[in-house]
Amino acid sequence: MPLSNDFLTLKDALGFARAKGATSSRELQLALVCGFAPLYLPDLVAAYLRRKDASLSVNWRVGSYGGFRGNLAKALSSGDTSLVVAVEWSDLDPRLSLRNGSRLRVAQLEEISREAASAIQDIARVISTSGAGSRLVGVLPSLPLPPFDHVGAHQNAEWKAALRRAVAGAASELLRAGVRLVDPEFLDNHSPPSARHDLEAELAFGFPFSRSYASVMASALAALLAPATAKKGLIVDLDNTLWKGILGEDGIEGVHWLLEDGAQHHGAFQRFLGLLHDAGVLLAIVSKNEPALVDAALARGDLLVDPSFFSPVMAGWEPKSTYVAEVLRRWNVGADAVVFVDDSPFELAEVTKAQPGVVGVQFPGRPGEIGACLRQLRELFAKPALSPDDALRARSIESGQAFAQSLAATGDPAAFLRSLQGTISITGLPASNAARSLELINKTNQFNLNGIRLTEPEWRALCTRQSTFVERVTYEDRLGQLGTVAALYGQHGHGALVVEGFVLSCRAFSRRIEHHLVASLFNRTAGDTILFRFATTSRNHLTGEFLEAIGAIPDDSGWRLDRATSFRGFEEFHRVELPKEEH
Amino acid sequence: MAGTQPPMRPRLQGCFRAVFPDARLDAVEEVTMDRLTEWDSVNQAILLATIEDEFGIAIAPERYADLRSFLTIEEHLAKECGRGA
Repeated sequence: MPLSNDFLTLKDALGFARAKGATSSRELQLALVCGFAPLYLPDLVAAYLRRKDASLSVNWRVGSYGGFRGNLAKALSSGDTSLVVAVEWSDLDPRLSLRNGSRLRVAQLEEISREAASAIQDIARVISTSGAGSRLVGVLPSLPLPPFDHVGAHQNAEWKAALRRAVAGAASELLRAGVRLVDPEFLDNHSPPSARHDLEAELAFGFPFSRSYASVMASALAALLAPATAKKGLIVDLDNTLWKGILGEDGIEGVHWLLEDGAQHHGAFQRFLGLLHDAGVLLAIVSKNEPALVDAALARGDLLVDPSFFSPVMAGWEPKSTYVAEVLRRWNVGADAVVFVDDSPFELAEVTKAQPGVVGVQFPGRPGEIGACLRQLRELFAKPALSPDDALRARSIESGQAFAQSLAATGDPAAFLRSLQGTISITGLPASNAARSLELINKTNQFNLNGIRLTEPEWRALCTRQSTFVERVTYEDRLGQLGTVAALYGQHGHGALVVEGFVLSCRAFSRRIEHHLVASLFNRTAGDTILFRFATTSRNHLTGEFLEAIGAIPDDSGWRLDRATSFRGFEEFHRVELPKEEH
Repeated sequence: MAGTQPPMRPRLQGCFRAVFPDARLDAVEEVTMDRLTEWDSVNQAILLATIEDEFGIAIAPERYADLRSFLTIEEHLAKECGRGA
C-alpha cells in the first residue's frame, strides 16, 4: 500500500536519521524494548524526530532478539532513559508466530489465548508497578493474528476475542500508569491490518512489519515522544460558524444548531468548544454584527457551549483582523498560538494576511464535513495530558485583565502590588518534574531565557542529572489563582548557580515575580553568583531587559549576577513559599 | 565514462548514501561488504529494503548472500529492472 505524503519512505527516513548534520547539538538517549529484530525501526523513529528538530541526535539502546521480557526488565531498571515499547503477539506466546516450530492443535488455541492474555496482563502490571510509566511510549500488538482457526476471516473466534479483550485491559492499565500508547485507530486509518505484516522479512530477519506500516508506527511513536506544541487559543466567527444563520437577518430566534433545524454540525462544533475550554484553550468570538444583538443571542440559554467561556466577545463592523489583534493583545499571546475559524474564505484570508501565524480553519458548509474539521482542530490543540493549570487558564486571563486595569489606574504601583497579598510557591524536584513545567518551557516566548525547547526524554534526562535544580512556580493573590506561572532549571556549579532555563508565563507579567525568584535563588545558594545562560531569540527581548534591570552583566559564559555588587531592583511584595526539602 | 553507466547508478548510489552516509561512493568497484566496515548483516537488510523501495522490486532473501558489493547489486538490478521492462 503506498504511503501518504505524511509518512517517510525508508530511503528518506535514513536520510534524516543517519545524516551527520552540523546542526546536531542535542543528544537524545532512547531504549527500544521489543522482542523482534529492530532492523530499521529505530532509524524510522529517529527520522521523524529529526524531521521536526534537526538539532537532535538520537542514540538507541536495543535489547536482544526474542527476549522481550528480559529487555523490558533491563530497560525499566536503567533509570534514566526514555523507553519505546513495541509488543507483538509473538512476545506474548511464541506459538502465535509463523516462525515457531512447534506442533499446533485446535485444542491448544484457547490455552495459547489464555497464556498470551496472562502475559500481556503481566507486562502491564510490571510496567505500572515500576513507577516508570511516564517514561514510556508504546504500541500494543497490532499485526493481524495468525490464521490459526477453523472459521473464515469474516468470523470472530472466542480465542481471538479473549486475547483482544486482554490487550484492551492492559492498555487501560498502562494508560492509568502514565504510559502514552499509540491509538490503534490511528494505525487503522493509515495502514489497514492486511498491509502490515511482512512474513518474508519476519522469516528472514525476525522483523515482522512491512516498510509502509513500520513508517506509520514510527511516526506515531515519534509524535508521542515529542508532541507538537498545542495552540493556545481559538477565535470563532458566529454566523454560519458557531450557529447556522445570519443573526442580523434571521434574528435571535432564527439562528440554529440542532439536528431538527439541519444545523447539527454547528451543535457538534459548540460541544467540541466546551471540551477545548476544559482543556485550557482560550476561546473568543469575533463577529461582524451589532454588539447588542450578539449579547442577546448569546444570552438565549440553549447554546451547547457555555457562552461565558468566550472572552472577549468582539462584535462590530471593523475588519475582523482588527478584532483578532485586540484578542491577541488581551490574551497576550502571539499570532502563531491562535486558530481562527470562520465559514468565509474571504474573512479567513483577511485575518491570516493581517496576522501571519494565525492558522485559519474554514468551517464546513456541509454537515457531513464537520468530523474532518473537528479532527483538524483536535490535532492543533492536542496535548498529551491535562493538568490542573488547564482549568485555571481562562479565569487567570480574566483576573489578569482586572490586574492590568488596576495597575494602570493606581498612582502607587508598589502599594498596589503589596495589596495583592500574593504568594509565590516554589516546588523542587521530584514534584517539579511535571508535564506542566515542560509545557511552559516549550510554549513560552516572551520571557524565556534562551528559547531552548526540550523533548520529554530530554526533560526527564535533565531532571535526573547530578547537581540539577528544577523549580516549578505557582502564584496566587486576592484576584485569583494563576497556577503554574514559571519554571527554572539549571545546575549548581563551582562557585556559581547556573540557570539554564527560566520561563515566565505572560499571564504573570508585571507582578515582579521574576525578581522574587532571583532573590529566592540567592537566598538558597551558598555561592554569590548566578550565571544566566541567556541567548537572544526573535521574541525574548523582555528577558534581556529584565536581566539588565537587575544588574546582570554579559560575559563569555552568560549573564553574570553577583549578590553583593550588582543585584538590584528587588523589593519584596509577595510571600515566597520554598520547596519543602530546602526549608 | 558516465554515459555508459546504467541509468540506475545514481539512484543506487543514493540508496547507499542513505544507509552509509560516511562511505566514499565514487569508486564503486571498491564498495563491498568486506571493505565497508558499517556494511554488516543488519545494514545489508536495511540497504536491500531501501533498494526494493527505490526500484519497486522484491529481492528474495535467499539472494542476499550473493549481493555483497555495489557492482553485484547493480548487476542484479539491471537484470530485475530489464525483466520488468
